[in-house]
Amino acid sequence: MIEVEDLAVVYGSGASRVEALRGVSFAVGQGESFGLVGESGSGKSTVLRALAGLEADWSGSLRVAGEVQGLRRSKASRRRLQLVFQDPYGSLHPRHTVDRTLAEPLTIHGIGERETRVRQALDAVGLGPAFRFRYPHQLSGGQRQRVAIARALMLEPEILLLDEPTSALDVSVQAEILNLLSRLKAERGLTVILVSHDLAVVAHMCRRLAVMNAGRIVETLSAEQLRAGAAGEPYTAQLLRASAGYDRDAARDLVAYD
Amino acid sequence: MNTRPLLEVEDLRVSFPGTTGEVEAVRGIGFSLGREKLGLVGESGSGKTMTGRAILGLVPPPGRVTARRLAFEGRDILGLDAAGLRRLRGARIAMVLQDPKYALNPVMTVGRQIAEAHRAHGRASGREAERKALELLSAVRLRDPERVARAYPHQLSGGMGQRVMIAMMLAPEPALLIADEPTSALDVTVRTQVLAILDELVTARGMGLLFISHDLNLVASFCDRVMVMYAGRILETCRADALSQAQHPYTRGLLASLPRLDRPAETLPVLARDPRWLDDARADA
Amino acid sequence: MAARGGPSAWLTSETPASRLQARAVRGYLAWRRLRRNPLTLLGIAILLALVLVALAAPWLATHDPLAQNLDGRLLPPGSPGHLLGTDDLGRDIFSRLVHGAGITLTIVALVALTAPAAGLLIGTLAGYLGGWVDGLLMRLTDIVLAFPRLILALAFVAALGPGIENAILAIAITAWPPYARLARAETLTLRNSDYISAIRLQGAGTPRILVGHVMPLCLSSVIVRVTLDMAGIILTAAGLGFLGLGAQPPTPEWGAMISAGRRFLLDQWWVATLPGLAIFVVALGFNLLGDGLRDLLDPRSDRP
Repeated sequence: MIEVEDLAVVYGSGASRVEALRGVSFAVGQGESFGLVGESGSGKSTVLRALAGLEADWSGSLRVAGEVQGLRRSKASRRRLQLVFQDPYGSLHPRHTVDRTLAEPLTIHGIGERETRVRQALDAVGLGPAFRFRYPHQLSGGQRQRVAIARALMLEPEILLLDEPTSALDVSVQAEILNLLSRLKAERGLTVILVSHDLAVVAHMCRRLAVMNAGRIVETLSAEQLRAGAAGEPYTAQLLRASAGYDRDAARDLVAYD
Repeated sequence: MNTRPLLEVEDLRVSFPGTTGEVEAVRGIGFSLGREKLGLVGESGSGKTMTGRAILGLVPPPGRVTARRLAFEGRDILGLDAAGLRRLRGARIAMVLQDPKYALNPVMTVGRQIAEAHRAHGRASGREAERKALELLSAVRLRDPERVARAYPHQLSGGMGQRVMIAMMLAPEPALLIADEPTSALDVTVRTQVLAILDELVTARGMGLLFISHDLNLVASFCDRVMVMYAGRILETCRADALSQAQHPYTRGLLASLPRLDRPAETLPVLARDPRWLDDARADA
Repeated sequence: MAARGGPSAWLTSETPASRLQARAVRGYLAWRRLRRNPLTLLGIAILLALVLVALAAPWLATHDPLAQNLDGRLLPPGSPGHLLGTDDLGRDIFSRLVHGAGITLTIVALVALTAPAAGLLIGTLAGYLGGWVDGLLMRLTDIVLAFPRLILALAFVAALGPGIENAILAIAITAWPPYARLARAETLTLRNSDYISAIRLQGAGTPRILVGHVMPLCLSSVIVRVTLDMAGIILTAAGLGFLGLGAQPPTPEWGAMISAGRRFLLDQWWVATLPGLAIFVVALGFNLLGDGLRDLLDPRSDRP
């Protein structure tokens, strides 16, 4: 469904040149959930933004459903692939009601039956009709993220890209959102790429995952391997150890990887 | 070394006037803190940040702080005037915040800021303060203290900034450090390094640490004792290594809702909140 | 709040049931916040009074504003039949002020509709598109800004010919650059926000993003700026009138009235001072309202 080959993204030039991605390749099958984990600056979110067409410039090759993706995307190819952002406080327009946020993609693509579709979308993400005419500031973080998920699903995409969808939420709300995403994925047969710094969240949602560091994929492994602690690379092993919680000995053994 | 707790809190309340009457952010909590790592965990809005701020006298107006007892090293804090509070805050109690960017002066080099902090409280000469600043920067394990001292805050990464912040707070050698989500903006490996520094400070210097966090796993593995806060009250207090056997349904629910590497699950148990929890409270800890 | 019923409950509902109610709740809460500031209310009251006076001018005026009476020249305020006295041609100052309110309002309304709209369009376009569009539009803005406003307006009026319409046009042409700069700065901070990325992902084109998403967020700061600038615009119009390039005699425009009265300023102070006071009060009203709106429309205070 998704094939990424040798993807590279460079920001700036001269002294301020930053290589955000240095040749990233992976493939995700239809209906599969794939995870990208790494620390900040590893380039995991940049992969998603390039896939979504939000990066201004990149090199390499991106194919979605067999179709080669260029720098500019057609309206039709936009429909196939949607993104849920990390920060639910920044991803909803502050002056638009939930209703307008959800109905707008339908208007853009000339899809009718807006009333029914908006109501169904709210139902699907577990928000009742009472939420339809509220503004974002009247919603909690979890409710906003539900609206953001509903918006991503309005165009019935085949692929859902999730950029740290729960990292800004409390743990009890995180569980609700993760359950919602699992359910929607199963119901709609979505292909999912989940980006997170939280190994446990990725292992929960995805069968397979890639560990990224400094713009490269360090290794790709299955969730079972991750759970068993069977990391092939020392970087992954260190990440696993640090994620488990604080450990005085682990702190002493830390190594910097670039 | 005396055995009296560093900090004693009894019936602490923080309230804000709202459109429909007073809103209580902290509703009568009590605990005491010795030379240990005491964790305070809760979800957003539980009142954990306000608790930390109340101890430092940093509750923003129009908030109101009351307590039956709020004492640091046996001395009452609530009765102090602004100047007294400031003296206490700089010298004896320090605070580390989540985002160092807002706490550091953007137009002054890091070295000068630490030296200033040191001079303001220690009355040291300029040369000596500079030397002390470098010493502190190496104490928080920055690899190249001279280079960091010459840098401006925006030239530092998140982890470096947080370590600089800690170095600055340590300049006057405080007895109590209040850390409000000091590592939640950091990557896990950097987080481990910052925690190691805090750990050493408590173990080696005999400092007290109030560690405010939303991360149950982290607090369980890092702290000595944990207090669980919910809706402005402390629901339970237990030894950190015994958090997995916590009694209160809220704590148990929170722990269960976390996805875990060692426990695969199809769906995660969702926390069902019981209105009775609002009245649950343990007055002492 | 749940205890109250009727329209008040409908207006403060946390769960609006329709688009209309959602807007009404928003408006009502804004009004409630506005109401808390007495100075803002005073500003609103002054401007409301101005509108009422302008509308009711034919009935409020005691005389024909253009009727000359050379026997009753330069009568002081309080003279029988002339509440605020008369000018050098014996025209009733009160009636002229009342009729002048409408002219002032027309100037304000026309400038307020055109200049900020142009500035908003140019600024958001430059900020959102960036690149050479940004460069071109912003250099144009810089050029216009480099001239003192009154001088540039004078040049335009001189070229177009004196008269109230041309004065308005000249003011509008010289007034847009600050709004363009403001809108561009706001757009730059919004451009990379997640909600703009989100709507781009949905396939929205540039016009839709600019009009539906970027402009509404720039609008509040522009409105505040316009309100605060209104005083200056009235003064510029008055200045053009004063210099004889704005409204032409015998039109009862306040600036032109001051201009005509300045010759008698020492002996018959009221002829120039009373229209001056009128300008002062209206300008004050706009400033008070602008300050209140700034507090109200500050995006950070977007709470009931």
